[in-house]
Amino acid sequence: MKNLLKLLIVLLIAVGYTGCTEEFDEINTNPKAITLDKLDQSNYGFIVRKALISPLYCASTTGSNGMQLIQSLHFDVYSNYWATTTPNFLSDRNVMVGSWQNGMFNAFYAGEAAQIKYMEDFARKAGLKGELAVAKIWKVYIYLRYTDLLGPIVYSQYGNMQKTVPYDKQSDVYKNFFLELDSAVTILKQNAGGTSATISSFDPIYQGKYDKWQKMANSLRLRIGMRIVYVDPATAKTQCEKAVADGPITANADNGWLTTTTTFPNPYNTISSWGEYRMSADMESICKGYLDKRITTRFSPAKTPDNTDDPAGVSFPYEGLLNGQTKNDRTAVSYNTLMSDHQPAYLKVGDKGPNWHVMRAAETSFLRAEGALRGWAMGGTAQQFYEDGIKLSLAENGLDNLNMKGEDYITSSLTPASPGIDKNTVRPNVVTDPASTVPIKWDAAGTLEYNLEQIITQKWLALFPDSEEAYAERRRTGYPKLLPRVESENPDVPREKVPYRALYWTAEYTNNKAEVEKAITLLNTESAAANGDKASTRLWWDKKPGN
Amino acid sequence: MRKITILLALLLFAVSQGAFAQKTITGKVTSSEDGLGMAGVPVVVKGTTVGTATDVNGSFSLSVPNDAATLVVSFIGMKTVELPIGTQTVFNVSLEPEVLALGDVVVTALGISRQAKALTYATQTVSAEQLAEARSINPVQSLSGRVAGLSVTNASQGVGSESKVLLRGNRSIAGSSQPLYVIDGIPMGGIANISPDDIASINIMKGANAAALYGSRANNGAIIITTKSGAGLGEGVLVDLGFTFQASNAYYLDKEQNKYGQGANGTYGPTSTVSWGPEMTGQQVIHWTPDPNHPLYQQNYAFEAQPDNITDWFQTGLELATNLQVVMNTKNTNTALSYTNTEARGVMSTNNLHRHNINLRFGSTFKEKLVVDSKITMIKENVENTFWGGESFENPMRYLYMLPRNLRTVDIEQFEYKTLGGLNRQHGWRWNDNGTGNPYWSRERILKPRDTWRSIGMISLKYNITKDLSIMGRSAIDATFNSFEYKYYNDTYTTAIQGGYDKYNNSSYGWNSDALITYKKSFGDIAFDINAGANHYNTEYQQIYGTGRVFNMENFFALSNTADPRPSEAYSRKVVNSVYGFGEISWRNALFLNLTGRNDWSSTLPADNRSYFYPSVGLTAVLDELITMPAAINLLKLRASYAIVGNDTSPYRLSRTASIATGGVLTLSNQLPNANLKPETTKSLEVGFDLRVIEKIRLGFTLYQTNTYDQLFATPVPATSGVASIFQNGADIQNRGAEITLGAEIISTGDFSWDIDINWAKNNSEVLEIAEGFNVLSYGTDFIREYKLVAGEPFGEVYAKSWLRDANGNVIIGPNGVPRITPGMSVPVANFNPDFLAGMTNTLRYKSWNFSALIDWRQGGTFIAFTEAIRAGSGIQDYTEDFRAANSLLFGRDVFQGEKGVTDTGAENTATTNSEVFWNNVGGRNNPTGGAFVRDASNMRIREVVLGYDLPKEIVSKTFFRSARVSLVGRNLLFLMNKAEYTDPEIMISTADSAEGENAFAFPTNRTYGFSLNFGF
Repeated sequence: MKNLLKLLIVLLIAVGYTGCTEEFDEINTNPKAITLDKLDQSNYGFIVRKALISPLYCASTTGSNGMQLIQSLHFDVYSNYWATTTPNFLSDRNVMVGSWQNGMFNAFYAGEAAQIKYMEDFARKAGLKGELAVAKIWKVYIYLRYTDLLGPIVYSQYGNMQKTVPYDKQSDVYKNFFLELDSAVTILKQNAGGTSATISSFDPIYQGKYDKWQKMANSLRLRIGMRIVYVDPATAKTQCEKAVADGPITANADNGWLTTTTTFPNPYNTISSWGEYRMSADMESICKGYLDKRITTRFSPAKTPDNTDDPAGVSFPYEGLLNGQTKNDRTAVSYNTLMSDHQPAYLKVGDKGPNWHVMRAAETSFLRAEGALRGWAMGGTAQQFYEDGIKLSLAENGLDNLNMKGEDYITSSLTPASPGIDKNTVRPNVVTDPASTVPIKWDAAGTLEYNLEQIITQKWLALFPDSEEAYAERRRTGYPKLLPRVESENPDVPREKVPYRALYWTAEYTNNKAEVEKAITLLNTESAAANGDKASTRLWWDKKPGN
Repeated sequence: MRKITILLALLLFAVSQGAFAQKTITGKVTSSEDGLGMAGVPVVVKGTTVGTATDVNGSFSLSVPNDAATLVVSFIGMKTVELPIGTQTVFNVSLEPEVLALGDVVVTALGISRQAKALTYATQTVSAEQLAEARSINPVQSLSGRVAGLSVTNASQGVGSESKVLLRGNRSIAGSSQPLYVIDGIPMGGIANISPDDIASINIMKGANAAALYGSRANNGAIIITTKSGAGLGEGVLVDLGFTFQASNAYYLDKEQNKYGQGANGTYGPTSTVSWGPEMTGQQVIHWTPDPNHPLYQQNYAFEAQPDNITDWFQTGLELATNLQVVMNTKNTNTALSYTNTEARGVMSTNNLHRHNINLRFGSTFKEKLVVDSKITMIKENVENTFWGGESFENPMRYLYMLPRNLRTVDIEQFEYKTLGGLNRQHGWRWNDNGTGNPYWSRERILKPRDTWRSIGMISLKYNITKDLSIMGRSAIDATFNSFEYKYYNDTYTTAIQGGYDKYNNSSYGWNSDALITYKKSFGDIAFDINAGANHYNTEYQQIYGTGRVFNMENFFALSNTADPRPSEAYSRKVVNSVYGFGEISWRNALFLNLTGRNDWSSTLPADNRSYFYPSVGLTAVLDELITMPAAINLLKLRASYAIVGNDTSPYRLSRTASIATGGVLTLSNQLPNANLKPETTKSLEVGFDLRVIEKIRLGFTLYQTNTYDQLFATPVPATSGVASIFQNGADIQNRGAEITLGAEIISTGDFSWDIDINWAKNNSEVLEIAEGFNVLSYGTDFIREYKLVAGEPFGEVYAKSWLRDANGNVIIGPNGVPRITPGMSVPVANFNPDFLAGMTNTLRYKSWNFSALIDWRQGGTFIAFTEAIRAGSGIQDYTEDFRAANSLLFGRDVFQGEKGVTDTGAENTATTNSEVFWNNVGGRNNPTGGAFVRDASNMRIREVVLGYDLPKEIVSKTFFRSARVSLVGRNLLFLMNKAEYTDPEIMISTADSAEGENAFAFPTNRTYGFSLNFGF
């Protein structure tokens, strides 16, 4: 009994040892996460890897969702590469879906942008100059996507850790893009031939090779410079000529590709299994008319192809869906069975899938073609760069220069064909017109507009699957000419058009209201069609008359 | 069994027989209930081991020492009788059954029993019988309607679903608003898998006041469970065997149209997922089957309505519970052992539950000085297939409720087929479509089995140092191990077209150790009861999760068979140390002052703020004992109490982290922690009275107000600031309400009695403040609604898209006859908080028969019926049948009568449309107009009915049973009123806070009926 009493007292003391909080800091440290003060140069690369992969959507499931919300549901359908088959998905009918846009911008600003900022800030603080240059190029590459989608964006003030964050007007964002590229190229020239020791094993695009990143920077300058040709032709010319002088990507060997892995797969390999989209009628129209073999490397034959509208002497089992199908028709008809899906490499879920495009030689060649057309010093003629662009694209797709009939592709006078009436639809696809009438063969006697249409139409084919860039160029130039949507549910955007921009996301209206309202003023001030925060407001650089 | 008792008694007393025999006494022990002799009753000389047991007729004969003073006759379940021996030699004893007066003693904080009249706050007790008889697998669900101010909503996951319990409404922004569960004095992780048979009583302590002593986790009130221990039942062996058999049917409330079938625009489409097709008149149409071996492959079949294709899917659910309890009490020990086996199958095939509960409780007293109590509980629960709730792609309801009206059960119950290549594929009418599937496939080929092991161990030692001073040490662990699998067969779209397999295990424990010193003393009219204690609480959680998609070999469920299996881990730990004290000073056992104080040190808070103190004070006056009252008043007690409860937060919220993931990437967290967090505080005031008049009517009334300040939660900041949210202190959420309990013995004669118990409660919760610069906090958004806290509004406002209205409140109609809709979810349309909750139990007894019925009433509160929105958009809901012809539907006349439609210019609208266009615009999944589908959650239902019959003693005594009882039970039998019409408003998609009032593809309510048999030996 006495022993029991002692035991009880010991127990009491043990429990009563309650003021003791010595171990509390340790207890409250998560052994499965690293606190930020523990980060240094040895683990910098792990943040860089994420900063490079996730904005290209290749990082795990959330990456796939970002890809669906940004690229698949917006760029893919506004470039008319793809058409939506899911009944309730509205972006294909030009509706701005707030929740998707919330998801799209949150994924970027609350996630990817933080990684990019860290990548840049740490490199600056630690004196890692080459890595700082890479970070700047990457920042420009990624932010271009968001400013070209919205207009004014949070850019220079990103990450201020305040409850209000001011926006920059688009012209200022572009100005800074050029400055950042200047600074990056200067550093990389000083490090010519070098490789980053810190990130070489973490950079899935160029393995830390500075020369390759420099080519990327110059190609990006070309892309950005050309974008402002209708608003600031003088700067456009200066920048594009500077880009060419510094040396952009000219060979497919220097193309920027993100190497996918099973851990960081091509996001189409995840979302293709969701069955939400199929090839567009425009892709059918243009490739069928041009007898373009790239359709065979990019798409699968339809499950039940309609062979009544095949070109003479050619089997063309690819079927495309007109954008903007009604909700009713989508519920009634299994378009997934009737229309062409991706090529098989994109359909294998769980596979690493094809590498993801960043920037390619064909695009630079078409940019130089346009520059030459405008009389700029691009180092060659418009026709030469146009034809090189086509060849580079065909080669990139593993194809020779022949069309489906075995004739020379580049010199063919073929024009796009009618996508045909699909016999399987409940309500016929009422389109009989081809998407456009422009031939492949360069018309040296053509007007600037005619040649521009040729260039951008081929660029559209070459850029695939880079719908983000195709959509931006479609807005800038009005090309290629593409088929109207069956239906637009957005009164601001007629069915012949696609939105000029996306809307500011509702979370910003809740959390950063005063600043987003100022941003709308900035947007209106610089716009050729100022309608406030609507899809019908044109961006600062979107100044070509008639678009 | 009775023979065993005799044997035991004989064994016990055999040794003493004869040795000291100096005189012989004889007698007979009878039962006061029927006057019959009782066998096996121990008859002992007090303070000795001299004794015997009665024979089969109840007679005994015993030799006792001459100086033997007192004879003790005790039997389990009967009142103990002590008789002076003197010179008497013949003793005829009539034993009366012991009725435990539950209302008089209440188990309160730390497992201490208190006089009910001394309590300074409102409590309510639910007895074991009520729980075990009309049992539900999850005992929490049995509380619905019985307790004023307690609401239960159930998650839609089939058998084994969770429930959400709220006492006096929601109050926490980021934490839980649910009460703490306390089992045998120690906080535990919930009672969902505890056997109702093991529960002796449940006492609900509603406010922070009642629970100040359990610390932070009880700031939402506490549900105190006492399990059966055998204590207080006298010596002997008691064996009870109970069987409960229940059957359940889906109480399907939804209604479909059965005129139009698959298709759109009035045209048939075999792959269509909606029912806007042509009228079904038996015409021949092409069959949808993709199965090359199906007799109708590419053949025509008759296009006919299938009104039962949804209800065909359900089966009769069954539940069989078997319970064995053995109580073995000796003079100084009581041992209670029980085993419960629960076998249940849900109304959905594959949703089967198997549960085993083993419980051993042992208590012993040594020389009235040392008291030991101990318990071991083991629970094994296996659910063969649990279900995903809500709008998840894996929820079979998602597909079932949207079945086109012409799909034949015979075709779809064949949920798979073999391709020509021999591969197993989903037999559906539309291949690889986002959001389409065969519900039978979802049920049979997306499986989520769960295995749970739970073990609870408790030891308690109490030492009475003197009569007034005692010391107690106690420690208890509640540990749970879960193992889950997710099995997706190949061809499961949208999520796992090439199959997938996840497996994860998690384990967690909560470990509480207490030490408590108690001192009791009275000086004349004044009595003290002072306690001081300390508590150490340690909780840990860890999980390992493996996920793999894409099988190498089809449908072989192993992580190593997937293309890229990925592991992930989770871990958290928290320690809270506390010291506390509480005391009661009473005067004449009629005036009671209670004081408590507790100081916590929590590992989750920063060093400067991790220590926090919180007190409470309560006062009770039993007026009828203090002043002379009219004779009719038996009790009048006034009570008031005020409490402050501090609270901490979850672990790891003080510094920003980066997490490492597969593939070698570091991801920065997007929440900016706050290194200076303070503890949150709940302040609670309640006043009330209890009244008993003419011994027949009991009335309790309570008013309360609680405010929860400085809550710890994440406030969103612009994502462009670099983080998505900042963790901080803020908010003031206020709950005010009133509760009434009324009980009355309407009739009480010898053979017949009628009792009524009524409870009623009203709670108003208001968000007074959120945080500086934040008046709105969004909890979560889905396609139809946003759940928000808005300063100045009740807790949990639901915003949605709604009609666009002009300045006069009229609905603006577009030129196509369809209302214009607000562009965003900007309109507050619903709030689930009820106006009041009420319950009424009627209990009637006639001789050996008893009957009780519980009616549960929830009045007010609204929610958005998402299921209905989707079904309306698909042309399935009954009311979409009308107005399908072109230009036949006019808003305000044909639908939404009472609304007035105007054109953009304000003129009366005359533009018409049709049902298909209208509901396609208003309903559907991705962009529905939530405001069009707001439903009133008011409902009144017969929650529970029990008809019981105790077999008469005359019959029972001729068998080897001690008692036998048969009851017929029913649960959820009928809605007396259901304003929501198409659905049960109390079934939510989950128990998450943001799921409050969230209805989407809920499983139907189960209507349950059955019988139970209970035998005592």
